[in-house]
Amino acid sequence: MLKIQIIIGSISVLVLIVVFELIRRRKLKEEYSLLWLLSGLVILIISIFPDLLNIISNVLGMYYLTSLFVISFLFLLLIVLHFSTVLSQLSEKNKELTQELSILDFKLKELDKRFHELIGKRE
Amino acid sequence: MNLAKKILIIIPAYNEANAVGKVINKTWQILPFADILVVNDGSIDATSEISRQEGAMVLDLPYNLGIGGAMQTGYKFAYRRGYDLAVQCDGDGQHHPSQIKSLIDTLINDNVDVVIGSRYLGTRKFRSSIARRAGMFVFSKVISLIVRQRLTDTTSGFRAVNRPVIESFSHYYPCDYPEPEAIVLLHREGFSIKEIAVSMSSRKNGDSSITISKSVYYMLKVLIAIFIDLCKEIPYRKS
Repeated sequence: MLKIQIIIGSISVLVLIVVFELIRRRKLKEEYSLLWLLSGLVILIISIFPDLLNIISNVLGMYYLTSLFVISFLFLLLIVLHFSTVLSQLSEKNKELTQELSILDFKLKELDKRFHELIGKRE
Repeated sequence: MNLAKKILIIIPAYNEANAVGKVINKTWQILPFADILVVNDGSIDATSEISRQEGAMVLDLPYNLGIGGAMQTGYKFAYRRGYDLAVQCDGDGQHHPSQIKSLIDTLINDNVDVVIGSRYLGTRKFRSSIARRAGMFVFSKVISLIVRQRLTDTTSGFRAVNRPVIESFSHYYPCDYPEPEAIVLLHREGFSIKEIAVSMSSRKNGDSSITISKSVYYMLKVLIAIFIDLCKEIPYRKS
């Protein structure tokens, strides 16, 4: 039991450090890191207080390691779902930018044409 | 025909260099007072150049957005430039510019918000495969039930709309299967729809040779999209 606690604990500490470091180097926005930090923390807490997980294991009728995997899996599921919503927003914004770009491009060409007509009249 | 109205013909075109020039030209002949906008949806051929040569306004999208995104670009343009009416017409020559007039006349005289040109309404016959017709039949039944009105051609992209609809579309326009989805959306937003009979040419490129399994698959996808749409919040309401 202790061995597994140490392994799981170190993994979660490692995840927390990597996520923290990525935020510090501005490679990961806080917005997208919250779920990672939360999952790292929860798993760290579980490894320190194994009784917590024992309660959950008993309720679910599973072994210690299995319930740990189930919890990690649920967090990963949440993170992936979060990413999907972010992706949808990004593609929507991308579409809008593209549309604006084409309209601006049209206006620019229009102005350019008028400008050259004016210059042509003067000369 | 009301000449005081500012009319925009929106032609979405993706690699239609062979057909779009003719469409623009014919439209000019019939509606010399209308403005023509070609939305070039990231074509890699001469669609943009040819459209410009024919005197149309052209919006060039830097990559292929798909028909929904391209159409919405046209509606955004129409909304900002103060157009009273917009007509969407395919760039592949499938829709006949000569019938744009009847779309516009119906829109004004019957005081409706949207007029759709239908291939299947009335006595005009449109040749297409059995699979396609079966699919269309199911669509029109389901959508007619939802909008509580008989509609025969829900995938027709030959439509005329008034200013409030232009505004609505510029805010939100469905992207996946825009034609049938837009009908359901318009109904939920409180707009009135009317169909009139038009004739259409079958597509010249062999695109429409849909097999039965493909058409069933397409039908299911669209039906699911429509039912999901029904669960979404209404993005805009007719004022």
